Amino acid sequence: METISLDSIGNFFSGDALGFFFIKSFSVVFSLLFTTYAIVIFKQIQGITKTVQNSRNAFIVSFTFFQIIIGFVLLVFSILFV
Amino acid sequence: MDKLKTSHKLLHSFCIRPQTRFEAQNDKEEVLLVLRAHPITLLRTFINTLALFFILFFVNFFFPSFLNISQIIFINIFFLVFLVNYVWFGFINWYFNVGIVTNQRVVDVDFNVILYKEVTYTLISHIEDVTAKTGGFLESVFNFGNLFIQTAGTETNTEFLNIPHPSSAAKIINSIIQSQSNPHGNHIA
Repeated sequence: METISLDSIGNFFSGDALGFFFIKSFSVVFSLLFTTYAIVIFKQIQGITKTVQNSRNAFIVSFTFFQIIIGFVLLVFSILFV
Repeated sequence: MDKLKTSHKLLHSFCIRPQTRFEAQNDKEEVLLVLRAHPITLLRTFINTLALFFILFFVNFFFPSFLNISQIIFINIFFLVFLVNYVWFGFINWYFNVGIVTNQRVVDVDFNVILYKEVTYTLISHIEDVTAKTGGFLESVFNFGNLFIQTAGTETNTEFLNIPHPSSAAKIINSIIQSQSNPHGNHIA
């Protein structure tokens, strides 16, 4: 069985690797949070547009749905390219 | 009341006879007035957004020294999406916090995008007192203020905050109350 030396762990949590790990985790976690937020907003907007109805509601719902797509695009981008 | 003509003022924050309906509206119920906060109340959101945009712009000069190109692109896109959402959040809160006056009821929709939604219905016949209050520098310059609608007994009082022309709104509501109490009289807002 391959052993892991303490030096290799120390090297990983220092310098460029630590910066990369921080940016990567930040981007994935915040993209997930944003996507969740966008879904919650979309559901809330769907509810409120039934309460107050006018001609501009279709645009508002569409824009809010577009944010969910943006959230997924950010998530994919953060996983694959960051 | 019948002489109220359709009009939209101040980015749809003071609408008379608009094409707006609400969920619990009766067939014979007509929306006469839709009120939102004065658009100037959105000014703080726009100033914050501008400030954050300039911060992003200047921070970008330092990014290349310690981040690679894909990380810089992601952070910029993410921050811009955040800014757009910040403005959108402010707009949605403003747009759906609305007061509706019909020929039968006063409806107060309090909506906070994330936290809660509260809709209060008050019958015109239950209204005891309508008070318009204006105070403060911006309120005096841009003519906006609060409108308090008191109801009888233990019923919830309704308030429309930071609406434009609060005294005009109070006048219209009073004329509706008078036309209800004296349906054959000639009460015109």
